[in-house]
Amino acid sequence: MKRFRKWIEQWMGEQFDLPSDIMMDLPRVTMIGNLHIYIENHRGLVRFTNEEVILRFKGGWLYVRGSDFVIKMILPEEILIEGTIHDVVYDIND
Amino acid sequence: MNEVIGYVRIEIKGEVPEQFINECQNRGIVLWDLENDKNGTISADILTTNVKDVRWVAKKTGCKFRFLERHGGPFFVRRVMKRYGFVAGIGLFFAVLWFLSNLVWNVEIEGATPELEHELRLTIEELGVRPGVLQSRLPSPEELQSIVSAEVSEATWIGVNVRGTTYQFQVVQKELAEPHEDAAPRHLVANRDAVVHDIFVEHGEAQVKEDDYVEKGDVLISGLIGNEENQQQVAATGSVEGEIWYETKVTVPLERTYEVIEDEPQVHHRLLLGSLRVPLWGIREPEAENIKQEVDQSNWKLFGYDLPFGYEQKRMYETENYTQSYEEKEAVEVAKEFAKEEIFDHVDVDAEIKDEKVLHHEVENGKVKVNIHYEMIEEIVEEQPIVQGD
Repeated sequence: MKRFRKWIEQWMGEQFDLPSDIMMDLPRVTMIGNLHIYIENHRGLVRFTNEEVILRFKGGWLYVRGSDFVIKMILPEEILIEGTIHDVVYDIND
Repeated sequence: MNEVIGYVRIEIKGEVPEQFINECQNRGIVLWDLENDKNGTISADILTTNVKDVRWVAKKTGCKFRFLERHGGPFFVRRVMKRYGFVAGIGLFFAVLWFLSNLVWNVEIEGATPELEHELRLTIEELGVRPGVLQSRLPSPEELQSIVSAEVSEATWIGVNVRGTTYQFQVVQKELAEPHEDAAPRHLVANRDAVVHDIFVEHGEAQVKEDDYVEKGDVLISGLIGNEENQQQVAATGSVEGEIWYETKVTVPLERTYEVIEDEPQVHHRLLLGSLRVPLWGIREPEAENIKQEVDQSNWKLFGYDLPFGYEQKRMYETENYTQSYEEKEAVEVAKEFAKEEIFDHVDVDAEIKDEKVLHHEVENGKVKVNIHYEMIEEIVEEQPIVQGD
């Protein structure tokens, strides 16, 4: 059932040309070089250190690794992180 | 905004400070500039208005927190208020400045002779106008002006001005008419053909008498007096009034059409935006055929520049045409009025009408043509210097 629903969502997104972050509640990540990372649609902060930020979102986690992290702003669904970003990793549990 | 409300930097210490952050999000507390100082310790900025909520969240998530720095308006004010001496100094400075600017520092008198200046100075000192008094204790410049003008009779006019801390008195002094120097010897001659109506001689010798006919250039009052052996040259003065004839032709139509405003006007108000007219009030156009319009437009200005906004008021009057017709007799009377107006366009205002005679009138094409003869009495003298060695 869950799979079917996801399949429907994906299919509709493709058919109607809708942005998938809206359709499927996925995080939208905007990066400016490796200096800023702006993430929308997160579901909470799991971990915050100088070198790592872990965010929860629907159906998985997002890992941002780097150094000198500062959260410039945090709102219920948005976060702006400043620092030196090395890698962004998705961990999606199907 | 944050600077106005004031914000504080707090340090959160706990097992899972991330929980604290998430709980803040749920409760709508805004955090910014979060930094991880060492494991389990996070510092962040929050608004002072949220401090109470944060305390509660910290307790709930098992975190300890303390304040690190205070920023923004309220804290700044509090810090400044600690140096009350400094604040009082600023306040005192403005108070003294205000007080001093309300004193009279200077009294200037312009345009008066030394004697009059002295008198005026005494008068105004009696009224209290001298350096070192409060301006508010003094009568207003207008009052001062009327008092001083009444007291100092030698001055024609005294203007009182307050320029900041200076009282300025501008004096216009009466100039006593000095007996003017004897003008150069001269005759008074006629400036046009006329019949002498009246003659008055101050200096010189009359050459004509009443009812004499004179031509332009004839000597009326001679500047040469005395007999042949003992002749003297003087500047002739006096006045000679002459009778002059004028004839005017006036045409008056027997019918005249007037426009008469019938009713209250209909008023339309419009807001002007560039070339666009936005109706504010009044849409209905009047139904009558004859309409007279008056349009008032005003453009708004800012610092001397025209703004593209304005306001227009259009008043529309319904009018009716009325025709007035004259009898021939009436028309002649009207013509006389017109003729009088016309004649005073040409002659001096001091002139007077001695006689007025309608010479001739005829009706032609619904118009009355009237010829009127006027006998006017006017000054006819003109100065003519006596050339030496004549």
